[in-house]
Amino acid sequence: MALRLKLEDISYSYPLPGSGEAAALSGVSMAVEPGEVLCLAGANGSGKSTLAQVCTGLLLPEAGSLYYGEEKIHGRGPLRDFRRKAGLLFQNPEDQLFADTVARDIAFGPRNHGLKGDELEKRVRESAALVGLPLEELGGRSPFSLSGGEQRRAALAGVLALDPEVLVLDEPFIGLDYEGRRSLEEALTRYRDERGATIIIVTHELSHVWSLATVFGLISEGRLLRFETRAELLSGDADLSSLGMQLPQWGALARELLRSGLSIDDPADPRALAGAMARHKGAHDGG
Amino acid sequence: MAVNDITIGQYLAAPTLLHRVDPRLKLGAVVAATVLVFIYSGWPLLAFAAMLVTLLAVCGLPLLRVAKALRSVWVIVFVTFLLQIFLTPGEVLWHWGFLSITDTGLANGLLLSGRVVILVVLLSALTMTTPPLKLADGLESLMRPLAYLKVPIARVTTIFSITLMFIPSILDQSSKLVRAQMARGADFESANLLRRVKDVLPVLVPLFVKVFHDADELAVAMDARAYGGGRGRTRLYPMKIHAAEALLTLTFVLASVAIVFIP
Repeated sequence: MALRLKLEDISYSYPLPGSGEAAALSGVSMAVEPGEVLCLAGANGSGKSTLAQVCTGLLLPEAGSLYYGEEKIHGRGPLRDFRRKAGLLFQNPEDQLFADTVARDIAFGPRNHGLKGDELEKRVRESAALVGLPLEELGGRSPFSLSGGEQRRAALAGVLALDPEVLVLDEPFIGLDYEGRRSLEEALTRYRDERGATIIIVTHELSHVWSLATVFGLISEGRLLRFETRAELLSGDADLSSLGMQLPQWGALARELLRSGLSIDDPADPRALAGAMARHKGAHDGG
Repeated sequence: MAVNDITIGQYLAAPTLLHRVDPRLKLGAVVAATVLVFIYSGWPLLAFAAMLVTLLAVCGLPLLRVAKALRSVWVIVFVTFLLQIFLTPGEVLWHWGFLSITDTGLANGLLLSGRVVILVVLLSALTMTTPPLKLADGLESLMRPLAYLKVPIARVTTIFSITLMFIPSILDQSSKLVRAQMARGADFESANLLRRVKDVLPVLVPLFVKVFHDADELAVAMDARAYGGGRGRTRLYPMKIHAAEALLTLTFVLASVAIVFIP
């Protein structure tokens, strides 16, 4: 079971070639409860990938602190312990895969955590099954010979094999077809339900995580602006396009209909939207 | 990670006065200076080093970055120094067991390591202020006479510039690999040397795989854009030497030569 992950006033900047630096994050504070699926949404270059790496303890912030449960993650020991509990799926699976076979790549993490023999093999099999990767067929192949979707799944299996309590995914849905997105979403939901893990998904495409995420953190120019739920995103008057994002198509429709006075029980649910439109039509036809 | 500290071959994006000098002049000056460094010893060498550092500082090159380039070669310099001072025969200055330091050894050690340091500074100043492509252009132009001897100049210089361009890309790839493995429990920050060595090995193999893969893709991309190399290629930006650049370079070379006349 995961603990509460808290970030306090985190800042990070990248050195520019030559001199000077570019601020990627400035003064970010947030808390993620166990079992929550947080979507960090922002345009390209808004600092969300940096934030993802800070959330897993991979990048050390220049200022601010990271808490896991009550413990402040500070110094080598606690940092190493926290990294063992956090898993990060990189934006580009090619940056993540490196072993000569898929099975060995998945086994890399748990082996570092001290798993051996049957236990290790079992963990590899379970993780591959969780993401729907046919290990008998692909386990002996080089990860670089796989298709994009298979690579993504192999990379995720490698992360899940660490059994992370905090799972951070950087643009996991990019480049996947509908089937791939659906099976990834299922795998993540299953993982969260079974392990009580906290999931943080970084994306610029809200429709990909619309039903999966429980809360959305809007990021712009290295700052975390605010948190909103699906319903708040639809009913509020936040201008997402100025943040470089857009609502899912039907969500935009629901928002317009809400503004024009139609009442929808749950604007975040497409079926409720359809129901409201049908009722509206019925009332007009009847009257 | 130490890989990020290697400065040789890395271009400095912030423009300095030296960035504006024609690559052919810079190449010529570096060649001349290299010859002089091997001719000079003692005070002229020190005077030359001082002049070089002053020139770089005046031109606005961040000396700290130049000094970082030395960090990647200090082992070589140090080993050279040790071999020289212990293995050169001469009058013994200090003696302990089978080790003895001689006066000529000490002098030779200092001289050789001084030369290596100056050469590294020269070369990093060149690569820091000249983008790889310009450097290759300059080389190509300087080597043009060799074309009469049927040397494929354009190809040689392309190979040269691609090699230079790959250095930062390899550094980038290796830091990505390190992070990918760190994210999955590899411990690169451990104080245990054996464990660290054990953890670096799995980085090297995939690094080579990825670099070869990248090289393959680059070849395809160049083919796709109809790279043919060879004769008859014109330039988008023809190189031109301005009077001020020539004057600066000439002054530097003349001043370097004049050092020898210092009594």
